[in-house]
Amino acid sequence: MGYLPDFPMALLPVSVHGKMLAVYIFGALMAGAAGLVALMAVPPRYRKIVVVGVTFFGGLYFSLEFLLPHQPVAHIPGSAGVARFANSLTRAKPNIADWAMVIASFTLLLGTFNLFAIHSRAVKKKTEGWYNSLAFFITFFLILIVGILKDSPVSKLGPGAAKGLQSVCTSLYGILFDGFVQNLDATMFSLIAFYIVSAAYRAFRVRSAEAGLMMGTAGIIMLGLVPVGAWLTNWLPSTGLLASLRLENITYWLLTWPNMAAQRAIEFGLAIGAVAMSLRIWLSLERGSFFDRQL
Amino acid sequence: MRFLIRLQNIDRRILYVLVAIVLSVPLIIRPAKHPETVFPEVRKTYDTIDAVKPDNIVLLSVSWGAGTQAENDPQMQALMRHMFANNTKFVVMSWSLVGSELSYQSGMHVQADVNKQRSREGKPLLEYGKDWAHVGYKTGSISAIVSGLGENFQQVMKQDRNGTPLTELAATRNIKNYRDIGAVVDLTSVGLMGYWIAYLTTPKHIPLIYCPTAVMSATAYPYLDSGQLSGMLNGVMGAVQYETLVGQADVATDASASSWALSAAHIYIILLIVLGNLGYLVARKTGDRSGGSKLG
Amino acid sequence: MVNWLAANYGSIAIWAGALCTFGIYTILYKENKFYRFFEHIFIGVYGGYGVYITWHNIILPKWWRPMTSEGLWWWIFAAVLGSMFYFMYSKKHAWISRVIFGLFMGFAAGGIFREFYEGYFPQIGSSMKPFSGSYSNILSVAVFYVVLLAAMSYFFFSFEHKHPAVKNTAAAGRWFLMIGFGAMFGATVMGRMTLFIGRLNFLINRWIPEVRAEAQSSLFWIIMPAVVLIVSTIGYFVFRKSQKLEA
Repeated sequence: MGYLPDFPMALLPVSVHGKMLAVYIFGALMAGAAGLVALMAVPPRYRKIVVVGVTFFGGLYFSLEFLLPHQPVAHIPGSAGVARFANSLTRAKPNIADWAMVIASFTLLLGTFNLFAIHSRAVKKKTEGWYNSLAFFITFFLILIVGILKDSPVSKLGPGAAKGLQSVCTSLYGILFDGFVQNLDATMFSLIAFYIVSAAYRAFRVRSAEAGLMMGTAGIIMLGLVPVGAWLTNWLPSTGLLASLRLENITYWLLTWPNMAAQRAIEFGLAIGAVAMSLRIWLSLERGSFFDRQL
Repeated sequence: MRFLIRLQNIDRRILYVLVAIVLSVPLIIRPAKHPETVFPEVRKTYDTIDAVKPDNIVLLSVSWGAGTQAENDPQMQALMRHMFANNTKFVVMSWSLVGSELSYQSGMHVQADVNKQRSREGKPLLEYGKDWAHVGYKTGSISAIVSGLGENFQQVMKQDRNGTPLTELAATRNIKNYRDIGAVVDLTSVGLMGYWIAYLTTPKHIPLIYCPTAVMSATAYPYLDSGQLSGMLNGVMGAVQYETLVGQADVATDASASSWALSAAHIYIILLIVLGNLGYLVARKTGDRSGGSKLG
Repeated sequence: MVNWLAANYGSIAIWAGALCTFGIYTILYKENKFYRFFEHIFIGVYGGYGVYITWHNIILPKWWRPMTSEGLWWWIFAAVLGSMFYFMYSKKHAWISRVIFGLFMGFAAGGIFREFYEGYFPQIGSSMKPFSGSYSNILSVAVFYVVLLAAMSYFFFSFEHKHPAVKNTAAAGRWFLMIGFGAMFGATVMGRMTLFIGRLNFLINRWIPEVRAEAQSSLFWIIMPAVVLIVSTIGYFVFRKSQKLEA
C-alpha cells in the first residue's frame, strides 16, 4: 500500500510482519522519542528558527504543487524534471491527507485534559455545583465505554453473554446519542431564536436611512422566502411586467443582483486580505501572541 | 400612545411564550401543501443530479451537526430521495462528529421509507452498501483530504463507517479518483465551499451543489453567478422547494410544516420590529425614556 | 432486561430528549441549577462521543490497524508527531507544540495561491457582464456594475476618500452594502427560527405521540403524576432559592 510519497519510499523498508513488527515499532518509537528529546534540548535562540522552518515547509508543499508546471515546457532545459517533481507532489496528496488526518486525530484529548483538570478539582474540593462535574465525568465515560463495547465483541464472555453485552451497549449508546447528544446540541443552538425575538423587539431600531434600507430589504426577503410571501402577492399576474412585483420575484431579484454584487465586493476585499494574511503566516511575519511570544 | 411606550417594557418571557404558540400551530396542523415557487438555483440542483452519469457517484459532504439538523437534514433527505429514484449511487462523508451519526441515520430512514413504496410496487429494494455508502467522520487538513480523495479515493477513505473496506461495497468498489465523482454536494453549517471549489470541483470541472444553512446563503450568490456552484438549497426553504420537485408536493413532511411555521415566525418578527420601532418613535417624540432600553 | 432495553430504547431516548429540551429551556425563565446540570451533561456526552468517534472512525482504521495488522510500522511516527500537541501543557517545552501547529498552519497558508486562483479568478471573469438581452436584464446588469463598483470603492483604503467622486461613490457603496446586510439579516432570522421550529417539531410530532402511546397503560397514570410532583417540588425549591439569592 503506497502510504508514503514515491521519493522516500525507496529509503524505507516495506511492511514487516510477525515478531519483527513489534521490534520495528518499538525501534521507531524509540527513534521518535529520541527526536523529541533532541527537540527539548534545542537552545531557546534556535527554537524560533525551527518553528519558522516547519511552518514554511508546510506551506511550501501546497504552493509548489500548485505553482510548478505539471507538463514539461518545450525548449526549457530541466523542465521535464520540474514537471516530474510537480507530479510526484500531486501523487503524494493522498498520503499527505492520511498523515494529516491521523496526526490531527491525536488532538482528541487536547481539550478534554483541561475539562478533566477543572472538573476533577471541583469534585475533589466539593465546590458549589460539584455534582454537575460528577455528571460530566459519568456521561463522558459512559458513552465512551458503551460506544467502544458495542463495536468490539468481548469473546471471552462466551457467545451468549457477549451478544447480550453488545445488545445492552447498543441500546445504551442509542439512548445517550439520540436522547442526550442530539437533543442537547440542537436545543443549545436553538436558544439563539429566543434572543432574536427579544432583540427584534428591543434592539432593531431604525435610527437612520441606511438602517431603514437594511430593515426594508430584510423584511422583503423574510416574506419573499417563505410561502406566505407568495400568498400575499398572489393577486398579481404570474407573467408579464406586473409579475415582477410579486414578492418572491422581488426577493429573488434582490438576492441575485444587488445582493450578489455587494457580496462579491465584500468577497474581493476578503480575498486580498486572506492572501496577505496567509503570506504573513507562511513566512512567519505575523505579529500577535502566538507568533511573538518568547519561545 | 402611552400604551405603545408601556408595551416596550413587556417581559421578554411573554414574547418567548408567544413565539412558541405561534410556531406550534402549523406544526400541529402539519400542512402538506408545498410552495409553488421553486427558485432557479433549486431547479438547477435538480437538473445537476439528474445529469450525473450512471457509473458516477455523488459525494455528499456533511459538515452540520444536531445544532442545524432542522435546516440541513431536510435538504439531505430530499436529495437522497432524488438519487434513490434515479438509481444514482452516493457516498456520504462527514467533517462533523455528530453529523456523521445523524447523516447515517437519515440515510437509513430515507432508504426504509423508499423501500416501503418499492415493495408495494414490486421493485427491487435499496440496500446500504449497494446503492449508497457512508465513510464516516474525517478530520485533519481539509485541503489535503479534499485534494487527496480526488487523486486516490480508496486510499483516503479506506473503509466505511462500519469498518467494511470500500473495495467490498458495490457502491464504492469502482471509485478510483475524481473522474468517478459526478457531483459534490456540500451540506454545511460551517462553510467548506471554498475548499471544494479550490481543491476539487473547479479545477476538475465537477459540479458543486451548495446546501448551507439560511444564515450563510446570501454570500453564495456570487458563486452561483460565476458557475462555480451548480445549484443551491437555501436552508429548509430550499429543501421544501426540492421536495416539490421530487414528487412530495402533497406529502406532509417536516420541511413543509417548517415552511409554514417559518411564515408565521417571520410575520411575528416583523410585527415585533414594527411595534418596537413605533414605541421608540413615540418615546422619542414625547421625550419618554422609560421604553425600549432593556435588553434580555 | 436485555430484550426490554432493546425493544424500548427508542422510546427512552425520546423521553430523555424531551427532558433535555425542557432542562435547557429553563434558562429562558432565569439562570438555574437544572440548566447548569444539563449543560454539564452536554459537555460530558459530547466530549466522550467525540473521543469514541475519532477512535472508531480514524485512529483505529487508519493508524492502529495498518500499523499492527498490515505491518506498516512507520505509522508510529504519526503518534510521535501527534504527541507534540500535548507539549502545550508543559511550561518549559510548550514551544514544541508550536512546531506541529506551525506545520498545519503552513498547510493552510500554502494553499492560498490555489484558493485565490480557483476561487476568485472565475468571479472576476463573471463580473464582465455584457449589456445585452431584455431591457430588464440590461437594467439588472447596470445595477450590478453600480453596486459592485460603489461597494468596492467603499473598501478601498489605499488613499483617503477626499475627491468628491470617490467620496460620493464610497458613500453610495455603504448604502448598497446595506442591501447585502439586509439579505443576510433576513436569512439569519429564517435560519435561527428554523432551529427552534426543529425543537418544537420534536416535541409536538415525536414526543407527544410517545406520551399518547404511553398513556394507554395504567402504569403511566401512576408514575407520571409522581414524576411531575417530584420535578415540580425540586423546581420550586431551586427557583425559590435562586430568587432569594438574587434578592
